[in-house]
Formats: sequence, structure tokens, C-alpha cells
Amino acid sequence: MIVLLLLAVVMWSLTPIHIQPVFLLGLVVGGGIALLRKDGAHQHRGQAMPERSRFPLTPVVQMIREPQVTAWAFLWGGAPVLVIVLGLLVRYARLESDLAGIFFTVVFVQGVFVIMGEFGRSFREWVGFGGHRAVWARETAVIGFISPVCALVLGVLAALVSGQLLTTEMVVVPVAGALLLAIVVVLAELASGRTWWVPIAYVGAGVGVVVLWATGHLPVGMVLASGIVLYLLHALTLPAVARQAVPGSSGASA
Amino acid sequence: MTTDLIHGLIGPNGAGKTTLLRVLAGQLRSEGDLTVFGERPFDNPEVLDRAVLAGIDAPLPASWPVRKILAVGSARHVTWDADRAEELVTRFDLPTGRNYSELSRGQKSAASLVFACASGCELMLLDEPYLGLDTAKREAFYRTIREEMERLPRTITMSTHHLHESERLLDTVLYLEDGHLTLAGPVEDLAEQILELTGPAEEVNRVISRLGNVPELRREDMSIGRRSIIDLRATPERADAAFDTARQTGGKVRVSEVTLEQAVLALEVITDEPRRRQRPTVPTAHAHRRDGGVTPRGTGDPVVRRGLRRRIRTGRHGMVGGGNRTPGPPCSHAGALPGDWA
Repeated sequence: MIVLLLLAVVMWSLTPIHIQPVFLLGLVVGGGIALLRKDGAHQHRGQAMPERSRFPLTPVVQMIREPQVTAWAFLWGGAPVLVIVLGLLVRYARLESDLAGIFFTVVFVQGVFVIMGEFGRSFREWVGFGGHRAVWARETAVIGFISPVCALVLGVLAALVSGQLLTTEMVVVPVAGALLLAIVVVLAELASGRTWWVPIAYVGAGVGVVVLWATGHLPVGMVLASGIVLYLLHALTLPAVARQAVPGSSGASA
Repeated sequence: MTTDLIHGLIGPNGAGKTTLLRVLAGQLRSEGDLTVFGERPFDNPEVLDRAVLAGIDAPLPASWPVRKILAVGSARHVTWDADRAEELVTRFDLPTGRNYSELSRGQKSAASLVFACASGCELMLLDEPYLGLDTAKREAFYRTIREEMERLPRTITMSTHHLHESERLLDTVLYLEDGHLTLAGPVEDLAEQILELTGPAEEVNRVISRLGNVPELRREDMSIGRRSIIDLRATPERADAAFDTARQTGGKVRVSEVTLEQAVLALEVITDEPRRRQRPTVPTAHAHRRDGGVTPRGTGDPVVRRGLRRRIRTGRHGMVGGGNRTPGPPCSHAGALPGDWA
């Protein structure tokens, strides 16, 4: 723990002053994840000692909310940390910015697969515990809103620290993208023989909206509206998709 | 499957036992007409709340310590018995602070069993629950199951390959092969109606011919004589005749009941080839009873009913749930299991 703190202080001192707030955000999110995952359990053999937890020991909290919130925090907390590290490397280690971009994309996609696995695990454990799939779907749809909220916060922060004027595009595009990400992550993980086309259909719709916006056929406000409509549609149909899924044997991360 | 009994689900690897248990637990979709507590089980809260599936093929959350699994289990099941959980944790010497994934195979089996017993669910589905348990713990397992039935009568369905050990525990057996139910009935009846005849070959043949046209499941010629296993399930009234006829040989032929393992082995050999050849035309091995239970078509309704009546007479088990419990059998199934289940 002390080593990590020292490392954080060194990194902080090396970070350019205008990126320090983002660094701080990454540190807070990363620390939060570490605290959530910390297992303070001590071993007691042959004795059912009462379990203590920071969160209520209920299946909904422990199997759906905690792992899924942690997963989104890992992705959206890790992304700015990665941006800062790569920024430092570009600035001080003369890393090609194109290379840094490719590296970021590769790591981000890996991160997406990691959190997909977490969603799959959450679903598998919930069903294995005798949970009703509709409950999992409802909770997952609500928790998915973390993704656009994080994108919104990070977009605003990025605009503030870079000193750029906050434009509508800087808010709308990441939020719409984060909504689509939240849809695809869940659906790709639940995809089975009958529902493999569902995430592809959403991606197709998302790409269509982006193309229409990029070619000037769609105002930027409609991009956000389309994202919200797609997400609501996803939330409504998720229980049916969850009923089709086979826990443990379906999903893109499997 | 009648309530308040222990049913053994047996069959070769890949027959679909685990899949069937997951279907009964409401975790997998099924085709055909299958009901548990009178409801279709798939993703049905009425079933999910009253059934528990345990075994290392139905794993508990891998990254959780055992005591967290038990704590969350107590929030999951309103019928949870914390004292029972603690008692069984001690009995199986489970390290409650260790993560489920770090437990040995036997400890995982024990953790699953503790969870299932403490849940208080009316339907306990155990998928090879003894895997990895050492001899002493296996003995503790059988003791635990017996205690559970005395403590809180419930329906237990257990997939097993350990017929010799399980025989003492099971009330009925269901033999599943390639998604088809090929044998179902009380263990006692199987043992009483599948008999072993040993003695000089000609004397054994004479006894069998006097009994009429009874199927001979297995024949083995040894230096000391012949050993034949005959199947009286279609003609159970001839069982007494078998003993009488053997007695008339002056003790040359000995008749004895076989163990469950021997019976199943003999039936496997005899049913395997013809059934495989006739697979597309073989009818479903069971039919609906009027009360919604499952009746093995091959053995006929009376076989099942008589076996159960015997238990009621001895006061060992009730036939169907009473009081606030389910007014009927917990599980019934009509229609062959889909082929892709196995």
C-alpha cells in the first residue's frame, strides 16, 4: 500500500498541471475499485463466522450491483489513467502519438472484454443461485446508465483541463457512444444461438446514426436521442434476451 | 417423482442427468411438458424459490469465501437455517474464510451440500454430491441426507454413480440414458423382482422354465455352475414361485435378491442393444398418472403404487405433501427429453 502511495505521488509530480485533475479522478476511481475488491477475510476452519461486508449481503447487491458497478468503474476509471500514462510517455519518452492511440484502443478493447466477462459471471452466478432472470435484466439495464454518465463527466473534465470550449459534440458523441457500449457489452455476453444477431443489429443501428451525423443528414441532438431510444429499447427487450441465454455456455467473452 | 422421497437419478456419463437437474431447478429451458410443483420450472420464481441445485457442476461463486456464500444464501432463502449451516460446516470441517475456488474438490462438494441443506428448500437437487469426499466425509454425507429427511421431510433428487453406497438411501431410481428414461421405480421392487439364480446349469434352466417365459437378463457359466439373473418386473407375482421352485430342487439352486448395482448393470446390458437399434420408435418410457406423477410405462402403474403403499404402511414416508406443503408431486415430466440435452 505504501509503495503504491509513493508511486502515486511520483506520478502526480510528473503529471503536467493541466492533466492533474484527470489523474486525480483516475486515482480515486482506481482506489475505489481496489477497496471494493479487497478481501479482508480471515480464515476460520470449521466455523461459520458471520460475514462482514461494506455492502448488504443480498444476492442482488453481491451478484449484480457490486460486480457490475465495479466493472464499469474499472473501464471508465482505467481509461483516463491510461490516457495520462500514454500522455506522459508521448511527452517524456517520445512515444509516437499514433502508436499511443493504437495502444489505447487495443487496451480499451481488452478492457471491454474483461468487463464483458464480469457481466457473464454475474449472470451465471445469479442464475446458479436461483435468481429470476428478469430481475437481473432490470438491474443490469439501470446500472448500464453508469457508462454514459462516466462518459459525460470525463468529456466535461477533458474539455476543462484542455482549456477547450465545451461544444455539444464533445458531450453528445461520447455519451451516445457510451450508451451503445453499455448495450453491446451486455448483449454480446448473453448472445446465444438464437440471439447472436441482436448486438450486431444494435451496432449496425449505431453505425448508421454516426454515418448520418457525419454526412450532415442528422443533427447532433438526434444522435443523443437515437442513443437514448436504442438504450430504452434494449432495456425493454433485455428480459427476453436473458431468458434465451444459457449461463456458462454463451457469450462473446466465453 | 413423489414428494418426501429420495430419488436416485442414474445413468451413464453424458446421459443428461446434470441437464435434467438444471431443468428441474428452473435454470434451463426444456421442451415437452415438464412441471415442478405444478408449474413449468424455467425461470419461474415459484419454483426457483423452492428448489436448490447443488454439486460441483453447479458451482457457487468462485471468488467468494464460504462464509459469504452462506451469508448471501441466508438472504436468498427465507427458509434458511443458520444453525444447521454452522453444524454442517463443523461436521465437514470447512474452511469458511477460504474462497470457493480455492477449496479442494471434496470441500466444494461439502460446501454445496451445506448450502443445499441449510437452504430449507422443499426440492433438493444434488448433482453427484459426494464427488471428492473421502470415506469419512462420504459417511457424513449419507448421515446428513438421512438427518435431513427426518428433520424436514423434503424431496431429494440425486444423480449418482455410487449405487452400492446410495442404495441404502434411495427410495426410487430413474435410469436415464441418452435423454430417455428407461427405468423408473422403487428400489425395493427392483431388488425383489430382479433375482439371481445360482446352481448347476440344468437345474437353473429347469427353474427358469417352470417359472414360464421370464426374461433372463444375464447368464454366466462358471466352474461351479450357472448364475442367471431373471427379470420379474412384468410378473412380480412369480417371485414367491421362484423361491418355492428353487426349494424343490433340494437346495441345488439358490435364489437371492440382487443389489441395486447388479440390477442396473444387468438391465443396462439387456436394454442397451435393442433400445439403441430401435431408438426412433421407442415410446416415451413413462406416462402421466392421474395425479400428475410419473409412471414408468414398462413396469406399469401398479409397480409404482405398490412400492409406495408399502412405504406408507411402514410409516416411513408420506406419499404426497400434506399441510402447507405442495399438494402433489413436485416434478412430473411427459415427453422424451430433447436429444440435444445429453
